[in-house]
Amino acid sequence: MAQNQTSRFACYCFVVLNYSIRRFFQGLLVLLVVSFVTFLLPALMPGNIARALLGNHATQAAVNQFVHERGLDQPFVVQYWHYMVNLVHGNLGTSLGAVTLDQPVAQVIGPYIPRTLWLVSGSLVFSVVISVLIGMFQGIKRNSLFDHTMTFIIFVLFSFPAFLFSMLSIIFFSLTLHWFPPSIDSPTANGFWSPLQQMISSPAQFALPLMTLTVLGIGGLTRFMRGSILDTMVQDYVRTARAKGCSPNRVLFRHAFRNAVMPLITILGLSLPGLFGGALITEQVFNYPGMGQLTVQATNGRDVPVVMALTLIVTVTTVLGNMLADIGIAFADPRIRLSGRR
Amino acid sequence: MRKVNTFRRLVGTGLTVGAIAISLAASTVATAAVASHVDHVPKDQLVVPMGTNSHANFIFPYASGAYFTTTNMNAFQAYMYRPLYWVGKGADITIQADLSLAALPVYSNGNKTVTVNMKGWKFSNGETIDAQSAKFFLNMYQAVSYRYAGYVPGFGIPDQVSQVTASGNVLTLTTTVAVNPNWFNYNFMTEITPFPRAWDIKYVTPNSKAASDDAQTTPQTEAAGCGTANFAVMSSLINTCGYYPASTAPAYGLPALNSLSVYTGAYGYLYYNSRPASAAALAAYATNPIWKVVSGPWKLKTFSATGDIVYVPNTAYSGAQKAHFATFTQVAETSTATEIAQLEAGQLDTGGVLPSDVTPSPKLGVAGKNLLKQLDGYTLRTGGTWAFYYAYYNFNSKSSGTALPNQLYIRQALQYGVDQVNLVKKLYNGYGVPGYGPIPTFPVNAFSGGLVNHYPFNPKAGIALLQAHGWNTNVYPAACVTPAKCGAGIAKGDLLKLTYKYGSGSPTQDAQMAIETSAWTSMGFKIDLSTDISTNIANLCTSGAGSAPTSGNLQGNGDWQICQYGGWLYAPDYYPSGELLFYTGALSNPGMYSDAKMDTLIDATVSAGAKLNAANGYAQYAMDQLPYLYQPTGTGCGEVSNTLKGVLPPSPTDSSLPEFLSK
Amino acid sequence: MSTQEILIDGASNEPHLADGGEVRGGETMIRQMLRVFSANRLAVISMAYVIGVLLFCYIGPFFYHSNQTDASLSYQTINMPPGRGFPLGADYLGFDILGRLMFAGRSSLELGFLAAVISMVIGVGYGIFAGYRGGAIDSIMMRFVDAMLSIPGLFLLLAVIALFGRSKTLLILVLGLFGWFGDARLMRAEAISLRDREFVQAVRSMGGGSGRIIWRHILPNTVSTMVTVGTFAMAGSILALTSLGFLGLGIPLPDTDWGTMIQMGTNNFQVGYWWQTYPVCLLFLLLIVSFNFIGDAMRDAFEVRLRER
Repeated sequence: MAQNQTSRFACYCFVVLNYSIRRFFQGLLVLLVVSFVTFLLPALMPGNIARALLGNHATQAAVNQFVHERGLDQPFVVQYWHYMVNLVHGNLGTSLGAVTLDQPVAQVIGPYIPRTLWLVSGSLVFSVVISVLIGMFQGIKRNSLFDHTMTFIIFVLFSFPAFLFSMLSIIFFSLTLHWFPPSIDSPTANGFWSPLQQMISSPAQFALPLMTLTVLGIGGLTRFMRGSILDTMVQDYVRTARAKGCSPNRVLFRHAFRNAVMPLITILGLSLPGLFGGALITEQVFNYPGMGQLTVQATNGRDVPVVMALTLIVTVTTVLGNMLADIGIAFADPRIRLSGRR
Repeated sequence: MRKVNTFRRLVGTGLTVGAIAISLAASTVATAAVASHVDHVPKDQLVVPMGTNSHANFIFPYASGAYFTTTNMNAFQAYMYRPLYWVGKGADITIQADLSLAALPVYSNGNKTVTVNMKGWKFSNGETIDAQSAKFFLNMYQAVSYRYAGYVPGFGIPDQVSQVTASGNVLTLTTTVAVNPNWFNYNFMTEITPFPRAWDIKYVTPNSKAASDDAQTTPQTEAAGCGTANFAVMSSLINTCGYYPASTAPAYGLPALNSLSVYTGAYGYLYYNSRPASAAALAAYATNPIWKVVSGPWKLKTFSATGDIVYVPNTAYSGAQKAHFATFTQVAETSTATEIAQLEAGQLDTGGVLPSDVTPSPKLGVAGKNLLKQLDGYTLRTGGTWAFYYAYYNFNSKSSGTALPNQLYIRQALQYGVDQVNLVKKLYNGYGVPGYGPIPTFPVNAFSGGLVNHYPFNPKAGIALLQAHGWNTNVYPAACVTPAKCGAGIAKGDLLKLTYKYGSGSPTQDAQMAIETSAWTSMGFKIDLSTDISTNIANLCTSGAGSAPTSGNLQGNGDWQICQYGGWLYAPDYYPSGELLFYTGALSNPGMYSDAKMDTLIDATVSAGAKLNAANGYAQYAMDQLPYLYQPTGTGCGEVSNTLKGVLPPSPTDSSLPEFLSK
Repeated sequence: MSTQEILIDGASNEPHLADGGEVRGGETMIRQMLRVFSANRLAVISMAYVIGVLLFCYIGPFFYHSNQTDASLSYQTINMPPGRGFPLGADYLGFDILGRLMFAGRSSLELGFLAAVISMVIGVGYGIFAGYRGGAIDSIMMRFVDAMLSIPGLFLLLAVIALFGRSKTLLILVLGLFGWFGDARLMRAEAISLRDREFVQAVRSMGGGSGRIIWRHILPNTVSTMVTVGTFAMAGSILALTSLGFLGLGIPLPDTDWGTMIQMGTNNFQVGYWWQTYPVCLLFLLLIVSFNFIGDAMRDAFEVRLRER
């Protein structure tokens, strides 16, 4: 018996580890493709990049020097190799923006990253808690008035474009009711923890942006949770538990809940790109200098290196999030993952 | 000489304190803002916003094109490093004797010798600001002219100066020709920034590419440096002041290349310590011993590349007007909306608002009222701008069928389609002034007397003009039917099509272009509008395939017909003479406008004994000949806290004098 | 944007696919669809609304004349409040808002439609090809889709705009060329499930070529999915365009779109020009909600399971 358990555990470990490694390389592959895209897009830019950057006043010698210094006269593959080597070393190039001209991109975007990450993480926590609660009760009270009302409300909220929701929330909660300020004060510190500190010290400022992002997130999550609970309730083990005479609450929380929440983690990972897109809009509306607002500014200023670096960073975060979610689930419940696709 | 491209000169415009964003503010998603709490900036502090999306990024007061911005010069460097002659105080745009480092120059020898008597003020390290300090700058200017964006090839300092001598507090410049003292004072003498001897350290360029390695950049002190070298002997200047190799010079507005190997001498040393490409150099602005030696009323306390900048008073400042505040902070702004929210929360002493947030200007130069209740503690102010806004034509268009801008009647017809009076009234909310020529009419000045608008809004006159020159305006776009009348390069059947490229980011500018294009369309023009960021406009709408502009001569590349970068702010070239804009081959004449009569008139303007006036001479000719398409100039408006005392009227030249303020 | 509707209905059961070889006459399918569809009241209301908006934008201008192009005439009425001659007021350029809604709506709808068509064509082709071929090719093709899907859509759009600038044509291309990844994934799943079905096997055993199988047997059987996906794609591209407009990166003047209208309206909201914001927001919001209801109902009608996109 004991030996049997050990070997089963070893087997479990092996399978999960094997899966995790495979998943890791899959993630790496995705990043490779994305980095290729962020490398390639600027190369497709119309016109001679050196000319565009240096201006037509520049002499041909200056252009040649520029081209040579940045390795633009080297073969495509070599350029990509240099790009990747630089990336690995955290070198994202130099900014072309009017204000941050010539400054290293990493230095320019550094302070903006934690702000968005905290905003997105915060809203993720809220959306999970809220959608799990709502979805579960919907699942339990299936086809009740509550179920139908919530389904409708969530559907409408979920159809709301992020910018309309944030605007209307400002008009309603800020301008009419005067509950929350309509914008976030400019951060004064740049550390990794400072956005969190700001959130804690002035929660009212973050109420509306967090609400916007949360609402954006719960639409999908709640519907998923509801379906997941319904699916789980008809599973064999739940029926067995019920047949054994377990109380409905016990069945729900001990058996159904755990199994229903697991797949939610995957969905969370998949919702990240949408959430970052939402954060871009939200930051713009609430004047929060995060990666989204910087992206809009850099786009307006055609600061290509900064935009590309931001795109890459957001994507890396997304891919990492997905990967962690998948591996996490695999560890917690190999059954769910290992059989299925991906 | 500086191009401005702020169409809505909102942020801080017309305030004694506050920077003007030189780049167009990105259109913001302005959200309604309600202050949750209103407090005030403490009594011993002054807090003002930087221009939206602008931030000081170059401390060395000798900047190349990319860093030659109002933000860097007027709202950063000028607080610490004072020019020889200070121009502008409130609405006044003349040289201010009490703020200058020397008595007004004396011209002798038939306006060929300029003598400057230094006041003997002190740098913060105790060093006297004497003639050698000024000569240090002049020597560097002579050695590395192309790295200073104020350089005008062929004119003034250094090209028309043959000798500079410094003896104690007396600086003497000898010019090669007799000069117009006003022109020489306002366009050249005002640009001299005396440098301390503490900066006169030589930077030796290493041979290897590893020039950015700090270990190899140890500067060498030298007995006879840039400040004492002989102005007329180029080789000594190259050794001590620096040399920018001919292979890469002259590169106007060229972003600093990463390779430091091209920088040598004192210039290289100072540039190296200022260059934004190095995070370390930027971060050290407030701590670097070089930059701690200041001549102005303020010195840096803290500097952040993207965040706030804090100054403290320079207690050793020699001027009469000492700084009042314990700290003076410039807050970095990411959007107009943030700035408005901070104003409403009482976190700023000055700031900009959107024109839609205030009532229309009842009269030129008079501000309306705030529509936002939260701004009750502030007073709205407006003032003139020593600038004119224009689009430029490509006179050297190479593509076929685009000889149109060469024809005066076409330019006249286009100008007839610009309803400047109503644009100012409706679109600018009254905060603007029509522009008819290169000399601004507001602020009221000595040069604008007798000004007449040659081409008031009149599309019918434009159509008549086109018809008289052989165009059939009954079809759209209008077509040339009588080539003999249409002019050179225009064939029968050619259509009245033009491209117009302008700077993106300003909804007001977009609206203005839409309005003007509609009027031109009704006249038979087909205008293809396109936008790009302003720096791209400056780059795209200029010269051709990279021929070396050794004589400052640029070539049109033929792919554009009309471009609008923005406007021209007469600062720090304050004298509105046209040598930079209208002279054949001038640096800022990207459309290759060339007219022998214009050149003669400008020569007369800058020579001794000239009298500048809008009603005659080059200015009158420029109004008549329309080398540029004249556009209205926005005057903008801004808020000043009612708690501030000593507030000066808005400055038309963006000069900023926070030391006059108190609470 | 497109990720928004992905998550809906993630946990329903196996798909029920219409059986059959070559699809019978379209009529029965349409009739069948209509029956299920019309049972859904919300969807019918939504459909009526969408048709209403179409009529409003395309037929409206025949009945309601307003100047929407000549800014040199309009700017005398800048920011006019609603009143005589201006039922919904005027905007920051002085254009009549009611007419502007139609004018901007045409751009938004056309652009959204064209972008959706481009992304559908690419997505359908790519997805079906990958799914039908299977194996390594499928794997490689889908890894690419995975990678592109993990780039947040708005960031990708902004990156492309930063590079190439923006114009009407460019926006269509950008939205179309970068909007098909989710569609491709769905169509691939469809193709895989059809590939192994008896009728396809039968055709193959009778010597039918791949091209014929894809063209005559697989494609027609995916029409229902395509229509549903198309509905969402249309809503997605309109939403993306409007978001761009809201960020100040929409269609440049003299054209305009709803997003740009909203952005310009918000600039003036604080001083009380509500008429520049509310009507366009309401019109647009209802349209997006309607599209989602219709898509949802179609999915029910076709009994198509939209898995993760």
